[in-house]
Amino acid sequence: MSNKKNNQVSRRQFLNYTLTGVGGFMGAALIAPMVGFAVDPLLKGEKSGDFVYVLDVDEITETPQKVSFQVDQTDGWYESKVEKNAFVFYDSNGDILALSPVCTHLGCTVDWATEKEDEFFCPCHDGRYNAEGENIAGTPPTEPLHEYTFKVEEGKLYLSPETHARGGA
Amino acid sequence: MKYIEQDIKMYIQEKEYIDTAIIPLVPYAIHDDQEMVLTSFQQELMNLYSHQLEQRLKGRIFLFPVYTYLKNSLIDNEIERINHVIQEVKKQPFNEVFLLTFDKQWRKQSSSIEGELVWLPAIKSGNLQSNEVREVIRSQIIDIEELIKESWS
Ligand code: FES
Repeated sequence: MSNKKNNQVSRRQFLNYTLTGVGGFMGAALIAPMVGFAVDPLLKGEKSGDFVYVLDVDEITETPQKVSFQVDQTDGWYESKVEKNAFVFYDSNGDILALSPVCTHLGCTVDWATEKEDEFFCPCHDGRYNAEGENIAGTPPTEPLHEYTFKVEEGKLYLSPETHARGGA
Repeated sequence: MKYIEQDIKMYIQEKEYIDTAIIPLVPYAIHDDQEMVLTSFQQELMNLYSHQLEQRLKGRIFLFPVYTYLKNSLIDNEIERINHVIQEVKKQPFNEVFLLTFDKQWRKQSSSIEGELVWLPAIKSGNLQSNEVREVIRSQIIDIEELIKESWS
């Protein structure tokens, strides 16, 4: 009887083991985020190089066209495919613009020519942007729609998944 | 907006703009294998719908955590609990509370629920990646979006 007992882990011992285990794990958790912060900018820098083909240049018109494309997105721990949208068109200078449909107010999705013929409109708080994607004064958005970085190769338009604010137009 | 720290902080600052709450009603089953298959699929589906909606109307709607209950429990017993949640949500304040569900049982009770019940016919099962399924889902999401926007005008 007493022999058997020696081989068993007592309840108290077991608790001790597990608690140390948890402690160790928590220690790791404290360190992990710091490593994450240090590594993250590097990872991001690499990712921004992933251009995705969206359409041929000769399909681009002066009227904004909605295109969608899929990108891999790392969200915290897991990776997933997300669908991104862009409005692609020639601006009044004849340059290509690829605008993000994400409203600069609080992030709803804007649409082209739903409310007024030549404006982008946000259904959430009636945000409006002109044909070049510049916000119209007196509506909630405070800056123009953001822009995708793009490149053209052999007549094909490629977008980078990341968007950036536009310098004063 | 979603129930994550980052969005909550934004919500607290911008409450006047975010006036519409979405609560998914999602049953789960343990008592029966077949029901488990069905409800788990619907759970995935609801996840997809609610997140898509949230993404499209992020600036004005707030997606609350899913309201769960056992599939074989009596819906009548859930009414009080869901109404309590709705009352709390409205106090925040939210003008509109939409409840999304695939579960038919709620329809009989819709008059005693203090929010707007949106019942959706669920596709039976299938590959969520396939193009036809995606099309069905896309068009249903647009319908719900229209419904929500109507409440704003
Ligand atoms: S989110 Fe677009 S106007 Fe407010």
